[in-house]
Amino acid sequence: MKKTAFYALLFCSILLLPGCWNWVDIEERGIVAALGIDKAVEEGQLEVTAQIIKPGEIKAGGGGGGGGEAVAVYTGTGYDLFDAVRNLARQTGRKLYFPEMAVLVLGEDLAREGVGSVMDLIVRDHEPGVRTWVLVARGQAKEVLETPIPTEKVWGFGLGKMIKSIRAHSKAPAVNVLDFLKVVESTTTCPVATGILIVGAEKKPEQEAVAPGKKPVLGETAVFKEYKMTGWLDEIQTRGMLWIKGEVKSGIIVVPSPKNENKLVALEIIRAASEIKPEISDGRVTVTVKITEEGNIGEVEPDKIDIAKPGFIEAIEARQREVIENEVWAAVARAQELNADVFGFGEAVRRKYPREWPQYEKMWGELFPALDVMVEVEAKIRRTGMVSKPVSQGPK
Amino acid sequence: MLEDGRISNKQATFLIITILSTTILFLPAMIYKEARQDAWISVILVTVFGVAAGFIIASLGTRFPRCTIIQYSGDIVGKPLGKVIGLIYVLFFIYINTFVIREIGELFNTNFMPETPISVFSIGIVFAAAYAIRSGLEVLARMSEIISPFVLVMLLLIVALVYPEIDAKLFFPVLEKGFIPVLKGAYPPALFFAETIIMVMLIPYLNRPSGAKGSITKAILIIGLFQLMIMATATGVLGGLTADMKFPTLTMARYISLADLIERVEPLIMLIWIGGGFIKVGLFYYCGVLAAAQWLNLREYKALVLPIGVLLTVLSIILWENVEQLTHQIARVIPPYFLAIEVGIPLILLVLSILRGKGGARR
Repeated sequence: MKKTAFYALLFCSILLLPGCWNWVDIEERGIVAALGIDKAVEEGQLEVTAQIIKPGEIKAGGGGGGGGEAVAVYTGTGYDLFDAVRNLARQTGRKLYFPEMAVLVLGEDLAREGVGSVMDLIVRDHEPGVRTWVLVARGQAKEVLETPIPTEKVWGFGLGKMIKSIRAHSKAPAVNVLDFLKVVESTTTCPVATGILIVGAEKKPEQEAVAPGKKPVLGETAVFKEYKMTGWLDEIQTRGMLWIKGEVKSGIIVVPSPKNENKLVALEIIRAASEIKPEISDGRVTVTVKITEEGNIGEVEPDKIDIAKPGFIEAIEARQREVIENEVWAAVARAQELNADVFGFGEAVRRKYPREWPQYEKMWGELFPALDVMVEVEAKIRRTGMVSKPVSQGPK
Repeated sequence: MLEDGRISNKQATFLIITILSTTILFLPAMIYKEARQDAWISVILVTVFGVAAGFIIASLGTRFPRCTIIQYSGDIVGKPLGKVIGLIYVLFFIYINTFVIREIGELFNTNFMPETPISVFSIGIVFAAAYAIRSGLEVLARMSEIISPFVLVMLLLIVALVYPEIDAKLFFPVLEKGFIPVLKGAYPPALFFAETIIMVMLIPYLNRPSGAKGSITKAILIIGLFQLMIMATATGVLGGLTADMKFPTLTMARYISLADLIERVEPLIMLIWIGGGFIKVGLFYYCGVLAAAQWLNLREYKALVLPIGVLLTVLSIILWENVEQLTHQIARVIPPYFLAIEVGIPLILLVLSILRGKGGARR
């Protein structure tokens, strides 16, 4: 009898045990796909834009499309990020939920003022992932989040996919919160973030579905000094930086054909690697950047030339090397102009000369702009595709 | 005897592995703070230290294969002083456990359930542990046999999944600031690697007390290896951030992303923490209760389970106002005292017992 009562009591406890008192159903959560942060008009305030997923629309839109948008965009202000985010609940009626957040977009004005506290919240709080991509908007972050991406139901995830597809062109860096903070740790290396801007003009909604009027485009690099943005690298400089850091995965190099300067040849980068070799002699620091690249011929403008002819490939290789060198030099020059060691040259010196490093560390700010950099590029062409020569009219 | 159960030497190895496995979650940060990219060397050093400490503890215990430290310390240094030493250990086992209980609560509060009052975790885990130890040592031992392989597999899984993110550059330069930081890095974890001190209470209940040395050494080497793996991955993945994170292993687990499919596997960490934490709390709790019962010459230890449990719960909540006090004490305040109790006293007792010809020799 006693036993039965005990088990009955145990059984009743099942009713109490499942779930917490602070549970929230998934439909009730404000799941954030992307977060944008700008300086507000009011002095000292932040304007936060959150792209929130509408769970209902995601399911409904599956087949025929139509319907409403799958995301809703809200904007609100606050004294800091946390304050602003909680203030947003006044509009959304839902507490925002961050684990699914794909991108964090920072407005340029805010980035130039410093993003330290924003980054702090992202790692301090347990909800946002450290894999969240960091973007800097040329202009307003709000505008980026409000611009639809037609191929994606959840626009924020579309931005995330844009970053993942950087490997196809290597014209922007892919940086997540952890990458960013890891670089902030260093006393000399400067963090970077992906740039994003809005191009195109407003169109009528019915046209928008086919060819969007306004669209966000990735490209360029925002350069930071610790948490403050100091300037941009353009697309050529960006790829130059990626060459040096060994982060070029693929991409296209366009060179004029060796036979005819008006015709173009496009080369696909298959693999690339880099090595930064610092040297200290007589107290002078020099850095040699060695880049090895392999490419394929991807596209040739029809011409009366035979790429199978000896000498042609070598000529293309030379031009390819020249392009890479120019990109690298452009990056080095711009970085030195900004006095921002985005490449980690300082860290390379530290790794090779740990004993001597402390004396250079302090004056790296003066050393870097005038640093002697040497660039060695080894560029190869390995394959030429499925045709041996461009198809053209008749026999020669 | 207060405890009739017997555990096998293999179970003892598993017990030690389980109670040390939870430290893998936060120790990398402590070590990295001092030793930076050479933290892995510190881990090797502290493992060597752990083996040495285990050797001292086991040598002492195997000289008195039928008694615990509470009982034989009087034999070695005389009754009154022996009582003092006994009391030190009773209080030590209770005090160290309050740290463990609080740490478990803090991890949950910080990372998973910020709005839940910490007392929920303290009461929950102490209650479960109380139930386990009322059933005797064998229950804990069998639990750890089930849990510890699980914990080790989880840790391996985290290392394997985050492995592609390792940047080998972050390990260099080796010994940038000389050897001193490496030694400093080995200091805070030393106290955890000497937690084999529980064996001074358990050796009499082993199937083969004489094999204690082997069991301890095996356990320390295994846990040292895992600590090394996690430390190295943390260094390679998080770099300098390792020092800034409260739970670097957790941050790594959150960083995992395999083909967009396996992401944010921190619940694995929760499993490690609950499983390992429960055994750890239970074992220290058991040692505290058993030590207190022997010290008071009771015939039964069960009567002490409840009062000490209440004491543990309350102390774990009121001893520290906030998490920073807790981490400050663990890293900066307690190491010398705890190390003195974990290694210092056993070493002195060992030397004295050899000099005075107590234990062992008589057989």
